[in-house]
Amino acid sequence: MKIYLHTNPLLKEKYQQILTSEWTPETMRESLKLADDFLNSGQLPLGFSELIQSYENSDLPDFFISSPFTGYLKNQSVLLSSKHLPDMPERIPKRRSASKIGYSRLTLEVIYNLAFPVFAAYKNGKPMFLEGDTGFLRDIQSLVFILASEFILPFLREQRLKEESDYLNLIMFTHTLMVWHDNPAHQNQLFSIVFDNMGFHEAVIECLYTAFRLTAPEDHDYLSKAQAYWTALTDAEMYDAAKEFALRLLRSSSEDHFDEVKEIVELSFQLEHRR
Amino acid sequence: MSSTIGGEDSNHDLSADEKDRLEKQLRTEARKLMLTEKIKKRKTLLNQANEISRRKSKRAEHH
Repeated sequence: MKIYLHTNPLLKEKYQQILTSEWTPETMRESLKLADDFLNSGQLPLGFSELIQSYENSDLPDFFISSPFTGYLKNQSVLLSSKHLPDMPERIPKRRSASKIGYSRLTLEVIYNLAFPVFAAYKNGKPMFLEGDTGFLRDIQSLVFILASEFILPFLREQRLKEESDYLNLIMFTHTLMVWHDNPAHQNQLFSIVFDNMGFHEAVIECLYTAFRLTAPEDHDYLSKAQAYWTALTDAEMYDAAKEFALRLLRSSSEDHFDEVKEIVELSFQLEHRR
Repeated sequence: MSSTIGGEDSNHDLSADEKDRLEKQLRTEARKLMLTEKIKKRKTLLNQANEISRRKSKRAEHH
């Protein structure tokens, strides 16, 4: 079944507004609303809000656990021979407090959007193939991904919602692997977030370095990626490596970035002396 | 790509100048926090800067 995705000026404006506003938990909700509006704007409404009309709140976790897609997720650890990836939960327990219920549901909404159209196809009983503005969908997914990492996962960890946290981590890993293979710089950027959430700090540094190396000095994101890598080195107290990188950056970056890179070099020495 | 039906895909990305201005602002703010313990806030600012400045998807195939 072919699904045509269409964006429109209002959705684009909303996307830009979310991208540039100060990020807060409310921004997270706005990004999910944008995903929902976009997926509901086609001939066949496929947003999360449509899905939940067919399921009671209490049935929703079972729907997400019963999908055949979870078998694929379960195999991720096996395929990658990694015992460090979280396990796919067998079930999601019923949550009691209002805030836990709310975050549990938000988690499922993020999972729905990052895996789209997997669960929409499962609900409709037909495979779905996306056409049209798929790039816009990917960019919304990227926003949802980062905002979920900033504002949902910390709550899940704090409140020990382990099943939701494991499921979300696995989906974020799989989404990065499957959706961004054609953009390795961004794929590595997202992997750095996934591994940071899982506590693999060495892998975070590797991914940030790869993302930086895959970005040309004339690209807009060159200095942002450089600073992210340098910051990770500094946070890991790898001061010599951070200093050396900053000095090399001075040589490779454009004249426009000189003042910023100079500040990075100065900070490298300052931070080293503070330890 | 777009659509098939409507002709050229219009870009949903920001203008180059706006990207430069915003990402620089976020990077500067993140650097100011380097001498503090606000590690999470720094990461958020840099993730946002990267998301603003990276090239947006256009005609990519979806999974």
